[in-house]
Amino acid sequence: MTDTGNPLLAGQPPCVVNVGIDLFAETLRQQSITVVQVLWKPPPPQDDDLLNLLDSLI
Amino acid sequence: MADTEALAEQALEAATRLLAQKPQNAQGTLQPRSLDAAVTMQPQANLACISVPGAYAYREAKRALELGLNVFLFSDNVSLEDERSLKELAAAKNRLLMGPDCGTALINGAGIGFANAVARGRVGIVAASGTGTQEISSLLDWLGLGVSQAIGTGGRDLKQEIGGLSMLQGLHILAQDSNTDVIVVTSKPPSPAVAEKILATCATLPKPVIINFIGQGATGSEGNLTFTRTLAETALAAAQAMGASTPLPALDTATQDSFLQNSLQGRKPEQRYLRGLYAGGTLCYEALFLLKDVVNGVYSNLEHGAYALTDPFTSKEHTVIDLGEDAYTEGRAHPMIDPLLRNQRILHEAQDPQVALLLIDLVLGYGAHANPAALLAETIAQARALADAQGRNLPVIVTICGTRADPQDYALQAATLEKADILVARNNAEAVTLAGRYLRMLHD
Repeated sequence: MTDTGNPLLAGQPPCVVNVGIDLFAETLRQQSITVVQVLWKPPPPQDDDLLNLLDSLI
Repeated sequence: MADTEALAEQALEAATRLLAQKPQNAQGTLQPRSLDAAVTMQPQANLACISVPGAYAYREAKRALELGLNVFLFSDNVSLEDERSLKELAAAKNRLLMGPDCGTALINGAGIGFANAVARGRVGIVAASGTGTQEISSLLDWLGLGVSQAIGTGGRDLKQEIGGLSMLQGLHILAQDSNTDVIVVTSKPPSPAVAEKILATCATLPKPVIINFIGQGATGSEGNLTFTRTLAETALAAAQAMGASTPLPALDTATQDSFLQNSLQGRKPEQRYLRGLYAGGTLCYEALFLLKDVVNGVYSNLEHGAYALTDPFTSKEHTVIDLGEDAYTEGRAHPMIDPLLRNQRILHEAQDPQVALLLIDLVLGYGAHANPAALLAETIAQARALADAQGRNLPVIVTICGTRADPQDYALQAATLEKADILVARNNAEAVTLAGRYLRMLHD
């Protein structure tokens, strides 16, 4: 692959963070792809600044 | 309340231990609670696969891009404004935003979402359609070729409001990619202004580009561009541009003729109509488009205007439906994962005395049901018993979308259907064409 400056397209299998349906993480593991599953839950109704602050703290 | 001080201490220790535990899955692997934490845990991460409900999708996708990740956004119900804003952010960060409502991608040999086990090769795909990518990539595999990258754009990318941002980005990536020799573009018909922009860009690329705007019907070549009508023709044209001369896998004429003759013999005069029950949205759209050349009108939940199906749960005359649409999937899994809803619909159609033929797709690959043919064969047997009790036959054509390397075992899936006296077509266009031949025989 020609270097596009995008690490995804550098020729190696992707390294994935899965946010949502577990099935997609399972299908990646079936293919021996590294995947981290996020234990995602809908955020409580808060303002965006607070959510971003929480993201950086968790 | 603890009875003794010792018990109280034990309880406190247990509580402290539990509070200190990090969330883990069943395998004991740590599970982060946010994208940020996931990237801290796995700094090599370069792709976020996001399938949270639409209301939260924008926020997660935006954060992923800000963290330098590419995004495969399966979630739908994202507004056009948010889609555009995410795509502009992705472009500014030199990252891909595949979606929203993106079902399939193949990145460096890995299938993301619903994808087939396709060999790596030198054909690059940019697609605004999930099962379109699955059909083309699987057929390329059957033709002895493979895919370098299949970049999904999401179904609305070629709308005026989005302007083909992801498709243009994908085209430039594939044009520069030294592992891609031929580029395939597939989508439902774009808005005219966007189509013009895409075609103008394709014409400047230094590689052959095969263009399949499903439903537009354009054919022929112009400079480095080749236009195709069907997904199967698209795979074939890409293979030919690669110098391959292998024909598409196909049913032999004798098998087709014998199917038509047997179906005609067991038919009652009132059996006049086709029922197409699709799990793949693009396969359904292609069927609808191809059947328009054969019969006067086909009702569908994908149609607007006179042939829009008013009640998605009741077929009318010729009907072809996409069972992956929201009306059917609300509160339940997609029919590619859980075939229950479609199987119920098959039993329902079997009781309609006007039904002449069922046309069905079976999509294999990662994410799809582990053994869909077994359930389908069982359902067809039940459906035929219902039809038979009323003195009718029930011919069935199934098109399988998949490769020999798919987890479901293509040969086993095909054999299971054939054993149940179901005709197995090797691609959707072949299945629809054969269905069309039968309908012509009934209506001439």
